[in-house]
Amino acid sequence: MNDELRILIADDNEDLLETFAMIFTRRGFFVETARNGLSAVEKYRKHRYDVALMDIAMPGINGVEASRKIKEIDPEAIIILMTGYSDAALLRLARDEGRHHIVNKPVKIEQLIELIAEAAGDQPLLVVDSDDAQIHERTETTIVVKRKDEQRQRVR
Amino acid sequence: MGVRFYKKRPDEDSRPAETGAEMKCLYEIGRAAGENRNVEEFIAKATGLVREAMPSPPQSAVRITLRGRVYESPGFQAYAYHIAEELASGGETIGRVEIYSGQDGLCLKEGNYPVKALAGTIGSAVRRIELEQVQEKLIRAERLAAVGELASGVGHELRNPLNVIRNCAYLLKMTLSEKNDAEAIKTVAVLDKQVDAANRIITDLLDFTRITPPSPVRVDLKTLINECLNWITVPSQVNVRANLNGVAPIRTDPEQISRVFTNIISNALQAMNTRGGELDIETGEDAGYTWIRFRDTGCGIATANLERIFEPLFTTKHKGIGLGLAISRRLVEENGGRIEVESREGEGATFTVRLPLEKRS
Repeated sequence: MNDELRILIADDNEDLLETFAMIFTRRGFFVETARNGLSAVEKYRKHRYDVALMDIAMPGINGVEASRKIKEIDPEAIIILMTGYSDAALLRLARDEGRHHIVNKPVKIEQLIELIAEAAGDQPLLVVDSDDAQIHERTETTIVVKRKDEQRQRVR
Repeated sequence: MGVRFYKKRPDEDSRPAETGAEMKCLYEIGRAAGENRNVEEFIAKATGLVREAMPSPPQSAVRITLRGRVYESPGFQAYAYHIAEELASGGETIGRVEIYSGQDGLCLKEGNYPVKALAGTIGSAVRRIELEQVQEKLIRAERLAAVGELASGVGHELRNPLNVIRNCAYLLKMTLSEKNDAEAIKTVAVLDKQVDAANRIITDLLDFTRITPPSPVRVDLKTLINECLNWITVPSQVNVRANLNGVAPIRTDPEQISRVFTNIISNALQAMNTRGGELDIETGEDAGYTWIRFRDTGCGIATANLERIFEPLFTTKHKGIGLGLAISRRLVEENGGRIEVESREGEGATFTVRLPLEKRS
């Protein structure tokens, strides 16, 4: 395993899954995907990830249940649940459990990456600017998240 | 009505009871109950009708007490002679009817039949109106709930494609940035901004349909209305005059009620947007209620639409989804009040919100 952050993305919307995968790959993550909750749990059983990004409303095992099962496998797992605010009861359950982060769809990528950087904060991280600063809009900070053993620092 | 509680003169002894006026009065009350959708208006009207049915209306007065609230006929005086009867609805005593007369010879016999019949008619009319209100409220709540369900379903279905669009825009931006194509990057930024705009509509729809029970606190209406006015941008061609003095604080949910006020004010401003005009906001107290009146000089509401403006998804605007007033009415009712509108097309509109002065038991 190299110094890339490993992310597992689970969503039943294939286009969403694919575009997230493309984005995170381009942002330097090692990406694996799952199309439902069960598959996400199975993947987690075989490998460890630095972060799991999962939709709340998925067929079969929903995001909250999958999150619970993943925590059984790895109590330290960092899980971010995505919600379209569809199922109020499920969302309440997710909030009550409080063992994962919740982001609203449509997800703002920069904020998501910041959240990942913060959530994975107890793991040593180095967050640095992307090589080419001028390629992005002024207001946004481009962050590449990389694992580093000694320290966690952020340079803008 | 010719209530026969007068002592009969000797020459009247053999005459049949004067039932014509009584029947007419009972009929009129029944009709008033059918025409009035709220109990307060009906009772106010009934006091007048009963008084008119008396042998000498100028020397008569009527007082109806309903669940502690008192309604009196115009120019009420407690004349020397009077009779009272309990008002009952569904077997429960809900108040009383009192008839006063200044005429001599009033016989205040307990159990006087016409007064009993009158009280019975008023009692059952109140029950009917209240049942209708409950039913209407349920229907409206159901309709809103259906809209809410639809909104939440559609919202979720839309948020996934919106997220895909956002992701695609992000990927495009990354690629375009490498090629240093500033114009294309700008175009992609517009795409992203519109995703936000679309998402805001979904959020509004969801927020509007999720109504939580009110959390009443002591609220100063003047402060609340001024806060609402601070939130809203008033166009230069509109003049807002607020006369908000002299009402005591009430117990209500400030967040919900300010949503109502903001909605009414925004509507008024939109109605005056092209021609300009004036918005008068006044407050006052009356019969157990605090009222807040918003009177604008805008385009007004067509008579045919007056009944419908409080229905969910009804709108005559180019923008908006038609939930503002539907939600406003529900919020006001949840807080124990009611909302009324008076308007004619081309002549402005007046919205009055009534909120109870004290928390109802």
